[in-house]
Amino acid sequence: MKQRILLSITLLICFTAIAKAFPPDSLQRRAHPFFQTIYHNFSFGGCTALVYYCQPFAEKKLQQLPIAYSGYVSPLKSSWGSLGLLMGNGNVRFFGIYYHDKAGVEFAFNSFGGEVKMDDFMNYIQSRYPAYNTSSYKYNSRYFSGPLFTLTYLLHWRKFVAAPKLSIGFEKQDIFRYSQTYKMNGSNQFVEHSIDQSVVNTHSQHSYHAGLDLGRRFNFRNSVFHLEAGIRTEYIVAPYSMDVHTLEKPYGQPATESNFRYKSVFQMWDAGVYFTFVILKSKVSPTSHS
Amino acid sequence: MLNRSSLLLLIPLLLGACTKFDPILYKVSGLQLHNSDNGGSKPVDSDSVAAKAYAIRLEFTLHIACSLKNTDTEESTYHLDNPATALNVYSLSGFDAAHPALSSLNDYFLYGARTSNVSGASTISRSISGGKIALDGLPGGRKIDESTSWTSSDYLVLMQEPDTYGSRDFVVNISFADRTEMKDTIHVNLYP
Repeated sequence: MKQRILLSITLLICFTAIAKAFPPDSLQRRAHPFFQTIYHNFSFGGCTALVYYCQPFAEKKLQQLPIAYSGYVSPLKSSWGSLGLLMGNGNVRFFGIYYHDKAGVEFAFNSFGGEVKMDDFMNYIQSRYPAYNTSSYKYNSRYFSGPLFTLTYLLHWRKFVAAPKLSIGFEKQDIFRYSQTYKMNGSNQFVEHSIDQSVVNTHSQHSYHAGLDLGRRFNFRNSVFHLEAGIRTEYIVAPYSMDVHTLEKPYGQPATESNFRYKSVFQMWDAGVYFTFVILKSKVSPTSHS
Repeated sequence: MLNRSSLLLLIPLLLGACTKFDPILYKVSGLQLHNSDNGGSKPVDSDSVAAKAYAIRLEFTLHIACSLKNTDTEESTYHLDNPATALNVYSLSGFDAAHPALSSLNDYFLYGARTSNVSGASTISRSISGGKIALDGLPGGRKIDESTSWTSSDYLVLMQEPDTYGSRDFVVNISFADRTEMKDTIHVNLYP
């Protein structure tokens, strides 16, 4: 941690020193000619604050699997997403860069998925082990999280912007190991029940996003900073393959195990509002080109 | 706006936030056995228990075994300074044909900090090698000094019923890394 702080301070000093080394332009701004070219031809999108509603779709493939597994991983609850990295549905756009404020690329970190409705699973467990205390376990969730690269094209009409987006994500699926011991009522005897999952070909776990942002820009005092607020919607598809191992073992008795692999597609729709800022030099503004 | 002097003030603050505290060392200084009925969702102390739901509660007395300088009760981890190296449980009378009086019953008991956590992997030998004996530090939020002591409980869960029911004495003998040895005997009435 100390090294990271020292590195950050060192980088800050270096960037400041480099910036000071260039002669100022007519507006007393200092930058390398390369960066000046970029500044004059590109606009930049910053971090985005957003709140959105997420609705995962049921995965038909899971319904064909044993309920001891399918009930553990589905169905997922709908939930809310926001600007965030730590848990739940979240999206953090680190930056976006747009040529002449039209064609652009964006880089973000995103997380999507949901908590599992555990009712089916708990009902199954209680009916399977009626003489055991099975009340302890009631939570599971499935989330995909990782970097997201987006191609977008901004369409302008007066102060309004429409941005259709196509994205590819390189996610890791967060998987919990389910391992519970159910104790028999009135006795020390117990049964162990576990579900282990592992994603097949972790390196090729991708998601594909198609989205649309509709927003309006606000500019104050002809500043290069524009505020943009609007609505957004997105459809996500994430195909994946999973290896599953389940085990059921009453104490002192042989275990019953099953192994299977399945392929499925996670799908989710979300919609909400967003608020962001854009650094936009007037020269690259589409209104000045038209 | 942050100027240069305020940035300089921030640096020691940031570095200070990264201070690492030493662990708090503690030792086991006492052992007392209690009979537990593990028939419900949580064990309760009782001297007359159905054999199939019997558990021995091991109540350890623990105390601070280090200087508390450079430690923090919220941030420091607790580290047992004298981990158990051996645990033996046996009955003063014969348990079954394979286990006469005074012979080890370790293979009939499982060990856990909570009875709900006991699984097939919770054997006594694994608990010893995994350092899971008397692992509970002081509950958070209490002020401590170098004379502070507290108690913590673990459980030995009986997984095999005896050939004969009725009154019985169990003995638990634990050896620790500092070559201390603790032993206690418990009397219980086990019924079918």
